[in-house]
Amino acid sequence: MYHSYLRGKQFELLSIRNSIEKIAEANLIPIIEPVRESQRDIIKCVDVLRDARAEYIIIVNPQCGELESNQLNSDLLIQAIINSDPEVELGFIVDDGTTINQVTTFIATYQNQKISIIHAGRFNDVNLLKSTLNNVRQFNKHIFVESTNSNSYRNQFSGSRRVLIKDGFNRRVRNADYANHSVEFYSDLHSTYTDLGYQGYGDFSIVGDHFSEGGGQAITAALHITYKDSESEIYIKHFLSEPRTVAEDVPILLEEALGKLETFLEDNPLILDWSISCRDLMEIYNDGCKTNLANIKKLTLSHHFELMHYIN
Amino acid sequence: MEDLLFQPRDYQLLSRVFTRNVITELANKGCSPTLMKIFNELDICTSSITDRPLSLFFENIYSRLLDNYRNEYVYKNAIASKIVRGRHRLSNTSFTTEFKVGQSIADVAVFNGTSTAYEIKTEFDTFERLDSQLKAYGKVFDKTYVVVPESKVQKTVDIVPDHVGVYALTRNYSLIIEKEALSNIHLLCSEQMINCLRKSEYLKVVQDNFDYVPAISPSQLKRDCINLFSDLSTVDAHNEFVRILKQRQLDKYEKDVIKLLPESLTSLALSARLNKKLLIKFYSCIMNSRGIQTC
Repeated sequence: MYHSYLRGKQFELLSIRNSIEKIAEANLIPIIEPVRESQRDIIKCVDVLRDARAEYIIIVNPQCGELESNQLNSDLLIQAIINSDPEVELGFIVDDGTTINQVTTFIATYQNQKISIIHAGRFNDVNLLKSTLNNVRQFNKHIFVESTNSNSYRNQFSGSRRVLIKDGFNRRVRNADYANHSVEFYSDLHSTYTDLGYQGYGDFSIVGDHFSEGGGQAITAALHITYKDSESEIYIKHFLSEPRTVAEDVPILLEEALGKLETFLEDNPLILDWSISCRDLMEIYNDGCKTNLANIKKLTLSHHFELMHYIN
Repeated sequence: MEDLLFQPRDYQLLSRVFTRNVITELANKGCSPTLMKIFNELDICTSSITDRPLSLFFENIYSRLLDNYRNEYVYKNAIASKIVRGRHRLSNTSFTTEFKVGQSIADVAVFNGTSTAYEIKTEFDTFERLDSQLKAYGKVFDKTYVVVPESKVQKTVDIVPDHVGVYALTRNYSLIIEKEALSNIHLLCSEQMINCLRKSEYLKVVQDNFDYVPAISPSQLKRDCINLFSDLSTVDAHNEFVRILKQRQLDKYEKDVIKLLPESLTSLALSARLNKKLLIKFYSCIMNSRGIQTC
């Protein structure tokens, strides 16, 4: 079972709506950490997930963005989401600073929802957490962010359903920095997670475990495209616009980057068989690149959903 | 408010009153968290400025900056209020701050009968990048001025190229020409001019002058536009460059509102490009006598 951990910015949410049929068909599970006070986009996304009868998890205690330490607005948002989809599954992030009281409050507050625990760190008293969850009927699974805790920590929960989320995306400070790493290993968890003793796996798509608000004017456009290399490995390839020292119109940057993607797709034509997103990207390329970087982000995120649907 | 005393480092904080954040917050919400933060850090009790319009508060802070801390905003605003609002009465003139030219950014650019770049060097600045900045401006602007405090006039006049002029911002807050700028039109570069324009702007310039069907490829389109544009004489190309950039200017109604704002806000109001609705809200917010509102 594949999980996609996403921060709920506008175009991340749009990518879910864009790929909803494949998400529902292959039971790909988005884990959405809300980051916006505005409810409109995420509610629309929840409606689409609900109508498609897709499995997904909404995090009730976001750790970044506008809702970080904004209890009231988070609670209002979660209430609106439950109103929209009474069967929504909720996730609670625990780390080294989380107390058992916070966990029990979460459980008591949302007695009618299915719940999961996201380990973005180490909860300090594993036995207490396990015994607390033992009697909780609606508890579903433990989800671990791989870089934040150890194997031995995760193995203490081996009696429960466990999901391992591993960030396959090596984030670079500047887009131009991907030039020296244009092809990178992304993940092979999809073929190893059962051997490792997990019931599910996941990643942070092509964004990585990192949150940032939109940046300034781009000098380099970067497209991140994942693909299956051999039977068991996923790679990621970065397509960049030409190096320059002065900012340029976005369509021109996109034309350069998409031109390189076109060459890649000519060498790997099978990708176009299953990736509607890549076909959409090529259509944009042939039509003068009249779009913005956010829309390209949406399509490359969608492409990753499509890849996970394809290898499923 | 008048009796408040500030330390030197406070002025740095105070100068942040004149930022786009503050005025967009005031326009949008009728209050400004950024302003509140500045007050908190300065330990100003907000009750000392209730019951009086915020416009007076802006004027008050500005006059304190004039006397004690002449940062870049003071210079920008001197150009905006004395040259653009005063001399040109805002008519048929486009005023832009932070105008990108290649890898440099002109502090102020004004387009009216011709194009003029202003590079500000306050008492806190060095001349470090001046040489490369002036070279870049010389490729797209007819006239370039460096604007400095009186103490830097002699040094500036000594080092700038012949065509570059020098303004002094005097102790009593006048802008005085110390050296006239000379026209630079014949040395302009048409490709650099295109690079300063948005795509819709350079396409319009080219289509107004040539029979051109836009290419589908955006880079091909830009190359075509650069090629066609360079067929014009530099004088004609520059006329077109100024004509299209003048179209960025505010409309009459927006200018009329800005003329009613306190002088200290001229540069900010001209460059923030609030839409009409927000501009009206901002105006009401700072002109009513309820004073500052907490959020």
